[in-house]
Amino acid sequence: MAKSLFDEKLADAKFLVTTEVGPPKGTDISEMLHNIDLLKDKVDAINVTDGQSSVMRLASLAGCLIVKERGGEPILQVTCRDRNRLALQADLLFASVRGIANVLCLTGDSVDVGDHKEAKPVFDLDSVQLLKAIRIMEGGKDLGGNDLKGAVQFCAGASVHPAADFIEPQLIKFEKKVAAGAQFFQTQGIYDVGSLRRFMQYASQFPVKILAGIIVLASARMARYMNENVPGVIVPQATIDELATAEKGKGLQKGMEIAARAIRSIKAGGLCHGVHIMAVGNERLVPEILEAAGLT
Amino acid sequence: MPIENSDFELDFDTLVSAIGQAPQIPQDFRLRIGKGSTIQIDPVTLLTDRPGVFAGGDAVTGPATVTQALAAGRQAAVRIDEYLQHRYPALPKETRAALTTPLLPRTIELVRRVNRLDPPVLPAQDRTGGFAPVELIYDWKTAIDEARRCLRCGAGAEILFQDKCATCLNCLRVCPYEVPQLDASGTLQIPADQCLACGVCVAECPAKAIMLRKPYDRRQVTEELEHALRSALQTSSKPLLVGFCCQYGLFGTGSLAGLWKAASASIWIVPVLCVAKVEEEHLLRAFEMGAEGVFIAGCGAQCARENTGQWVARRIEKVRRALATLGIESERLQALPTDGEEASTVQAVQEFADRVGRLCLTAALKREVRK
Amino acid sequence: MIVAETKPLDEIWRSIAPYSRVLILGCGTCMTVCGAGGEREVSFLADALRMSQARGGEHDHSLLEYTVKRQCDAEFLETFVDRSREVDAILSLGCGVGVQVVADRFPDLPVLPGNNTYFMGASSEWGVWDERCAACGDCRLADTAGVCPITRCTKGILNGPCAGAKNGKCEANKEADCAWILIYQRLERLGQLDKMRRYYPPRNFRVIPRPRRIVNKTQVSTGGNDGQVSV
Repeated sequence: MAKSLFDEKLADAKFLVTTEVGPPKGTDISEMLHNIDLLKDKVDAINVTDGQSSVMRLASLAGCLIVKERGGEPILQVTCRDRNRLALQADLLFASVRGIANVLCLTGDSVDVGDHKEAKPVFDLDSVQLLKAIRIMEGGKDLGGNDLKGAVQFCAGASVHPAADFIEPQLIKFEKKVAAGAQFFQTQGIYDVGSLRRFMQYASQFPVKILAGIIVLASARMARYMNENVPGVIVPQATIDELATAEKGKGLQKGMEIAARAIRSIKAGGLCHGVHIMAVGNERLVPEILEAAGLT
Repeated sequence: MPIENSDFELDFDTLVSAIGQAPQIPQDFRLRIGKGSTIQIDPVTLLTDRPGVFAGGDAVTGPATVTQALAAGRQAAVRIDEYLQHRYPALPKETRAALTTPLLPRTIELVRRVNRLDPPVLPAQDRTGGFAPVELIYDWKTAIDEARRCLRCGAGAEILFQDKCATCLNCLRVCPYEVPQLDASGTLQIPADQCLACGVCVAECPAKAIMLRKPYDRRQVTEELEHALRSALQTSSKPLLVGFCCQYGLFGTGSLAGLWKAASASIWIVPVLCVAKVEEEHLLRAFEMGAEGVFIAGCGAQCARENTGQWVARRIEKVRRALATLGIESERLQALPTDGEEASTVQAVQEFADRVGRLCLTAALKREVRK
Repeated sequence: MIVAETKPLDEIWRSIAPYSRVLILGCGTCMTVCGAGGEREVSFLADALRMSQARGGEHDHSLLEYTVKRQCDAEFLETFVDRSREVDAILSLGCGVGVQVVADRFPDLPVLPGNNTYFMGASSEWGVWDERCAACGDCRLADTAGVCPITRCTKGILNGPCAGAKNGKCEANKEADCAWILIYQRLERLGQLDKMRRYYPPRNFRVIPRPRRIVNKTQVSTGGNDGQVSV
């Protein structure tokens, strides 16, 4: 029995498309609402990010409630950076009560890369332990061994980094996540389809769905900035060079081109089960990218 | 009362009358004379005021003992030698630093008071009848108890390996007499003349940096153990017990003879100055080397030292915990109560031996059953 | 080794400002080794404070200097009790432990910290100190080939790595090696990668709840002055 709409779709052979929206740094949700309305029918699910890059923002849970209200399928991103195991379980219960059944379990970026550098990093659990916690809760118990009143059910996923420069430790981590109960993975940004192909050669033995992460870059400078400062993002030199060829003011156009091309080749090659598009502030352009990629 | 053959005549060349009442010095000898016609001398060099003339004995002090005269003569010999060799006169013995300093009041306060046991005396009415000694001898037990009062503190502890010492302050904190001192530079010193040789610090020092000085106790207990167990195991088929005994306890009571006779086990005694000195590793090592039971017997209520019972209890507790994880029964390690009576001590050891014997039997049966 | 650094001069100056006579107390153990509070640092700091005072045109502070072998055991503090009666405050260059033991011993004097204590660590080369131990009370170095994931991984995770490492360096500190890549390499070298493949459950953060204490002397209830032992 499928745990959610997204879970059902995972079971299909269809090429999946997910994307993400970022909550505002404040209470003005107008842009987020607009993006949700724009995208909810064009993708299989929408992630709501959780303090991405350790920048304080409106909680992901709030964004997921709004997605659900507006008729979309939300994926709750949960990081372990800010909450201890008590709060994490409490949030999961909240999500379950409000019908949010898809969870992406992340360790979370380090506090040092964000805008509250003096905050206390929690990391009471890591992503593997969080996945395990979900399965324990589904079994009717909490992490303290106490009985839960009322069932929970989640379609749980995690992230993976196929293009990491030290790949073996990442693969060990990937396997642990699968063993802990991850059903789907959204990868870090892919630019070099070859690296995805190599990863999939190894990953396809596991009964999990892999969605390739596609980050929409706006300029060579942005690419270099992300390389320097954003954990998990490695933009190869070839891509930076290609971005640099764009005319002034046309950088974003170039970025969209690169993204669409990547999506097309991944789909055509049947490399993995879908894509996860991260527009990083340019969510309004996602429909255009989908069209260019032939996914509408 | 006349003494036979006591009047006789002998010839001499010179007769020196040395009755020792007053010196007879010729006026023209020019020596300074003081009260009672005694010769005045410099107290350090023993010289009179006439160069090259030394004086000592009754001539200087007036009527005194032969011993003092002999001592003066000996001292004068040294001074004469110095004089003739033009050496600077060494300071007399009395002004050199004392070999030991008096005990500090605080240390004295902390020493257990054990009263002197006076020997029995002949009742007054019996003394007048003859020349029998007034002071009688002790009985065996009283003699031991009185001897026990001696702490044999000459064995004093010292920090033998200062480079091993981490200044952890354990010795300072465990000493029942507050003897170890921190000097101004933060180095720990154990003044040997204050130390009462209980050995607690020796056993507690985590760096094994402290030793008792007396050669008898410097002999490694471990070596003794190894030798003892090796030979005992070879020769005996009875279960082997090792007993760590203070010399006043089991030894002092003369119980040993009783033990050897009565024992249902083979018993080897390792003597120590004080049971507080028995270290945990000695207890464990005894088991490791094949002992079936280990006991500690101190002098019980007669113990002249402080808190020995507490230390023994702590060490036994620690070793028992280790034994428990190894599956060895706690009862195999015991402190035996002793009251200085031979019979009860022997009985305590015998009972312990019986208990251990039963444990050995049970263990052997279990092994058989398992097979 | 406990590693600390001396606080900035102006911060120290401000904290001793209200007290006219101050004893600057050094420590001869860890603080000497890491250069934050030994005898040399004490005299250097005293000189600097005197100069600071003079330049400010004031002359109403007097500074005494003294260094003990260790500040963390009260017995060592007895050596300067007489000096303590001559001052209005003690500036301790001990680690946080030392400052507190001194404060306990001299409850009628303000005892001020002159150092910021950072961590327990080791020196890889002269003048460089790295944190190595967080005193978590549940050492798992057997599973990580001697690399502590709590001190050397910025997130302190037990099922590492995260995805943030670039060029083998941590996302939070580009000069630090990613601890989990290091653990991987060491385990691979030892042929023990299965240790990394294991699932490690959530950490016990309260092995000993704070305020923490351990008692390692064997507690016995009997055995007293009479030499008798009932065990």
